[in-house]
Amino acid sequence: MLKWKRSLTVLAMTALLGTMAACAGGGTNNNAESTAEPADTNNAATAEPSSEPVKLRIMWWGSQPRHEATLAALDLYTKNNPNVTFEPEYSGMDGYLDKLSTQAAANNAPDIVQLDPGWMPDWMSRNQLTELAPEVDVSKFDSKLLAGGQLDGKQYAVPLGSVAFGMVYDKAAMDKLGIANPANGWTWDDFFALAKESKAKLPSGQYFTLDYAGNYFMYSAYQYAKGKGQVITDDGHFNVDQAAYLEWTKKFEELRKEGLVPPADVNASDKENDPQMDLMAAGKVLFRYSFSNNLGTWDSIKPGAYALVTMPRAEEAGGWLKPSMYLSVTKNSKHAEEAKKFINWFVNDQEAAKILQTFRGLPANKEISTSLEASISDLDKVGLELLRATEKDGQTWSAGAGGWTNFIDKDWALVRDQLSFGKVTPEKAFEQLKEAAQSYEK
Amino acid sequence: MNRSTATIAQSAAKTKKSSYFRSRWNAPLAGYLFISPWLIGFLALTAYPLFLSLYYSFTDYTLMQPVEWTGTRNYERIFTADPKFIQSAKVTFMYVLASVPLKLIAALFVAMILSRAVKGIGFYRTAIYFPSLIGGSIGVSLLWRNIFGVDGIFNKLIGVFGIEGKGWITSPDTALSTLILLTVWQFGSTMVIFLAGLKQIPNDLYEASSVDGANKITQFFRITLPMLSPILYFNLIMAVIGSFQMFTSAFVITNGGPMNSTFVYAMYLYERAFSRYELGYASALAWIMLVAIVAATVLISYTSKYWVFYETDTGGKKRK
Repeated sequence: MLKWKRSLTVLAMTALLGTMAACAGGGTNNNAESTAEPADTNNAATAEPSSEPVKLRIMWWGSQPRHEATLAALDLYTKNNPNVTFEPEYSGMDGYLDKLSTQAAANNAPDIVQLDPGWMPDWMSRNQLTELAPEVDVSKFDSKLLAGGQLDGKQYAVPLGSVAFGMVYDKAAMDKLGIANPANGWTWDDFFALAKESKAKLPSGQYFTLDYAGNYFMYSAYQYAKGKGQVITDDGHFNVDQAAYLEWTKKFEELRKEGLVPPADVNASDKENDPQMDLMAAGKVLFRYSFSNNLGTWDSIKPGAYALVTMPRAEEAGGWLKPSMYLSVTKNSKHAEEAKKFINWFVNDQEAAKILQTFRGLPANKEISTSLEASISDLDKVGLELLRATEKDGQTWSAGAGGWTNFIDKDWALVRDQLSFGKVTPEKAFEQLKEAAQSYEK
Repeated sequence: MNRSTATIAQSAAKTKKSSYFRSRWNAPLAGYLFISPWLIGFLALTAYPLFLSLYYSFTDYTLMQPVEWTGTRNYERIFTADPKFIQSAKVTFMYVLASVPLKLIAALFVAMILSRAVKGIGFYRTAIYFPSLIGGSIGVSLLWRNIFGVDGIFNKLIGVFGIEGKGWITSPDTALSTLILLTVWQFGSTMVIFLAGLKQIPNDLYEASSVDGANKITQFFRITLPMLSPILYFNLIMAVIGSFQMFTSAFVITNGGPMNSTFVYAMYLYERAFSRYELGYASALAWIMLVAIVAATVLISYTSKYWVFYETDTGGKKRK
């Protein structure tokens, strides 16, 4: 009995300590912020070059190689500017926006954040970012890429790179199974024909591609290729072409029936770039969509196995070039000046570029991308090849209308699951999307 | 004359009253001072946000935009034109109805085993209590995802017996059950309270009944359950309140999917508040949940007089 009581006390103590630790953590954070604050206002008043210690919070998503490169760049910056240290928060893409949005809602977002081009309209129109001029010099940047980070003529975010939307395939597995490799410029007809052809050669538990019937990006590529334009127009209207949508979902329905895409529960377990849960990394699928800069990540999982190919086309090209991601300073940052100075270094400095390489796509700074191309690795050459092949007649990327992020993330995803589990017909799926879109229409 | 006496009487009463209040106030002042850290915390961190959210629920508050009073519009929209509200409420009710009884049964069952004197019982008690300490955490949720995933341990285990598993957390018909299982597994604190209750039951009741020839099952239903009913009542209410607010596991393990089969109410609230920044609308959702929880608690309290037995009640006497 005594023993039990004692162990209960220990448990209670542990719980208490946990709470106290949590409180203490919060406390020190607050202290750090409150001591830094007066220093900051001093700086603003005297406009002297700051040497006060500043801690910048920076958040990004990515895979291991990108994390390592970014951390190395932060170290270098601290070495050059000893007063600036960093508190990095990095993770995979999974849950990134949820975390960032929650922090932002609590006025506690990091000083510097990496944002997806698709989120930019929302973040800028909600006034959550700070204008980057004049500290950040964007004179050497591709104006097409800059546009996604502009609102009313002000630059709120700087593009980090340019990537092509294409496909990655398991070349090693396909060679082994005797399935022909695709070539740049292939068509959707080729794609579905290759799927059919591979049926006899695929062992059980291995599939041609993921169940993309309800995948927003893949369907977008298909609708573009069919010449039907954007899925959601720039002025905020639902523009899914019914005929193209039914064609697409029915083709995948066939693949599903023939076992060329994974069963729904397996398909739903896929997490892109997760070494354990990614179905491509697990050797279960041959094809999946990818951006040109991601080959390095695939390669780090299984060296030499993967290759890239353009997104299949039809009347028009299926793929496009887009800014890979943007870097911004949040509105509530207490060290906006320092944060902007850092961003300027991050995107314009040659030394930084050498460390960061192309882990965020081919740099948007033209001077840097040219100098990088000279010393590029073999792996990056493959990515660059896809970039050049897509560039020729690729679709024009657009950030799209604001306010639709949740539609794509939540409503479209529900229909995706329903299609994959065979709970709705393609016709019904289209109706559902159209209905869900109504509450987002401008 | 009458009038003046009345005034005098009144003023006398007044003085008496005010001194009464002063003495009432003075004496416990020290007490209020002692609890002031908690009191301030409660007022600033619980009461104030609570009523602020009630106010917001009648506005169109979105982050970064001025707040505008919209009356009951949020509530009207929720009840008339929001299929996700109905869907998520349905999932939550299913979850509450399944997880609460299962958790109580599991807790009671284990408590009864542990209430006996077994060698090394201290270890078992700690080991069984342990999951509920770490239960709500992200780590366990991630663990669950790996156990019940397509290539998870569970499938490998049943694979040994030749049963072909599936993605338990990625199939719409089993995802919610997997989450319920996680909740049931965390019965530790409920179990500890049951255990304390079991210790309180006088042994002579069992001895007397076994002399009269009652078997174990009769003893359970005629002695253990009635004597334990106040504890059961408490645990029931706590479990109901807890499971209405279920969020972490649904968010981390399944993210509401597949096909919204685990899209519980708190997740919908989160989506409105933090993905769409519609904090006014989300506040209205939160208040509806509060009312639902209060209603459930009142309902349980109301029925309690028919099944909760207090020892102070004299046996056999009919209660109203």
